[in-house]
Amino acid sequence: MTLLVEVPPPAPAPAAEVPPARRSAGRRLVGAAAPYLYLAPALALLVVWTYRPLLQAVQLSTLSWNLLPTSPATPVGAANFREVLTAPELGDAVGVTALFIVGLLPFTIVLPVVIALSARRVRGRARTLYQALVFAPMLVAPVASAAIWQWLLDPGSGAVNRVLGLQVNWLADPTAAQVAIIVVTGWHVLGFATLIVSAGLGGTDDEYAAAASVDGARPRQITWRITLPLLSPTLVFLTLMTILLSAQWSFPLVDTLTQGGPGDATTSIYYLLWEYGFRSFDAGHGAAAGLVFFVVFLAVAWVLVTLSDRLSFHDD
Amino acid sequence: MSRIRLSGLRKTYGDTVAVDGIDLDVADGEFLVLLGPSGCGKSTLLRMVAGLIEPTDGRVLVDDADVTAVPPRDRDLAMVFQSYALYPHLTVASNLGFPLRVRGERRAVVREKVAAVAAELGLTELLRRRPKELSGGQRQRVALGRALVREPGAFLMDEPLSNLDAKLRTSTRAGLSALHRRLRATVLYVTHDQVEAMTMADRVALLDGGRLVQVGTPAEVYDAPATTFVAGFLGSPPMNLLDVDAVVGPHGVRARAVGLDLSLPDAGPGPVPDAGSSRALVLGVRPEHLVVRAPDAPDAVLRGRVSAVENLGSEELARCVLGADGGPEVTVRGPRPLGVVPGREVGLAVDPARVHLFDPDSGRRLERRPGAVSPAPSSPAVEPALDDRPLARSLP
Repeated sequence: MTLLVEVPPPAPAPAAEVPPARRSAGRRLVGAAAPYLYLAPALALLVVWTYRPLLQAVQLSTLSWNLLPTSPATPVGAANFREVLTAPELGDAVGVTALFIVGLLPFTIVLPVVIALSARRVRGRARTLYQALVFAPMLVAPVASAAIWQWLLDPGSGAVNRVLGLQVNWLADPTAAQVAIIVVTGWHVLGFATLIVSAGLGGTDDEYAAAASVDGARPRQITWRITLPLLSPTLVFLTLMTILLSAQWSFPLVDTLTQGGPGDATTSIYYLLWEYGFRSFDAGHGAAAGLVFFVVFLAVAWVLVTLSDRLSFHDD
Repeated sequence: MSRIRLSGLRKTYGDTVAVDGIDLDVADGEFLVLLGPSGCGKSTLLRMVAGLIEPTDGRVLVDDADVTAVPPRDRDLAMVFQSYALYPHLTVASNLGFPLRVRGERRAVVREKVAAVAAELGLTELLRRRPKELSGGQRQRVALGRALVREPGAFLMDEPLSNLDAKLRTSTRAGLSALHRRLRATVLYVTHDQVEAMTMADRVALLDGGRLVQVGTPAEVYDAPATTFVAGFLGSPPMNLLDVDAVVGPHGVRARAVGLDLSLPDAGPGPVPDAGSSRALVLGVRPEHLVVRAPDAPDAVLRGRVSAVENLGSEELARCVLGADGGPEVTVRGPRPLGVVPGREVGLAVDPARVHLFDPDSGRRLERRPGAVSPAPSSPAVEPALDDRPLARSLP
């Protein structure tokens, strides 16, 4: 009779007689702490320069104080917030800021995309030169460029009026001043935005455009249906930067060229904030306004970052 | 379906020649595989056919129309990319419909054709997903579907299976072959995988250093390699190539090397006498055509020592060093067990009909023609230039 014997599974390897290596408690502690130690310098800077001032601003916003160490700071509760939120100049400043944001979007989105797309074929040394040229305005100190623009915008002998054949008093007319601030700020940040868009374009795989052209798409269709959608995370990022930083980018120009005027035509929220704090020496109102902007910008940033995450297409 | 012809197609980057004057005719409905190692110019060649790379010289013809200067979208060719290049921001349905949408096809028609292709490739359940939510095999099918959906004149495929695991590659290979048979599609297929070439191709075109080395059916290129490159590229393990001193006489060829004394008689068995003109040759034998014998067997024309034996499951490979230590190495392949032991002496026999001869300088195949004074060059590896042949209609 035939006997069927099941093949046994492979026997486990005999236990090793060497005791497992054990690290000392001290070494394990250092090992666990290492990532935090690496983070520490950055965290320390954030705490000192961002979080501590933020907390101090919260504290200041409940006080009425003129910033003089000798004068008393009186607690006023939420009164500063009530006054700031009901002040008519706040509404005006928000309007001016919104105008700056909308006015700057062509310089941070539209023009950079057009320039970056048309400069894609530039290669090698010419590319480096072109990038340096486009980026150069970013490297000019804003106050220095403001001084030069002041000459260029001079209503009598300025180059701008002469080239355009206009008789505009650029920095004294409210609308003209707003246009001037937007254009000069736009000139400043254009190179930066173009570099970001170029980097975004460089990061998209050429294979998609190649596939689209074989699939029958025309160059225009490739740009609109493939390239720009793939670039959308970059564009959302630039929109976020524009919304959060427009008032900040224009600040040194406003301060040098118009000081917020004529009237309040170029008083953005940051300029208003600065006026509260360092013109009126009203620390409480300045801090309260700062906190309000902080909360609003936090919400805007959260929305746009979420949007950006949704728009990122990670194709491994 | 379309016929694709390439005439003197050339591409150089500075001093580097990527593709060096390719003449090739892909017949209507033919599955032609461009096979070669990495960097042989096969992908560059395919991209020139697609219109993605502008050739330095030469012409591309689709159905007798010169499309060399025609943009990719008007060539009526579809391409499957190695990376699949699925548009990451579009759903599977939009990816499949893209070629139709950009050509201005109506939405209803697009939806209908996408549904049909999706059903054919088993993608119906996945139509709403985005590429990142798909597995490698599903992505490959979407890429194929995007090529199929607009019923192009021909398909260009750039290593479409190289990103799949071995098992999926085997099944997809069969699927592609079946699809080709059913559609009678013209396919120009680039790969470095000889198994894909041998199993799927109607004809294989081997490229080396930007040049076409041989074009033929899988059996032709395997059984009669035109050069030592083809002999050494095809087959796993590839053909054994040995430098030998030969005497070419009136009754055949007598080849000698360390551990080798082989007679290739023109007629009948028996040794070839040592009379005639001497010359160097490269002798090629496929591992499966070497037969293990006792070291002192009379028909053991190769003698050496077994250096290693590899178990492939159904077969075994034996590596043998011929003659003394430091001699040339040959590989023997046969059903397991081969009956050899590492370190032992071994004799190897071979059927003279299975022996290939090559010129050591040009590397080209030498055919034995009994009665001729010297071996004539082998059949042309490169097809006749396009200009030498009549065209169905004059070119623009």
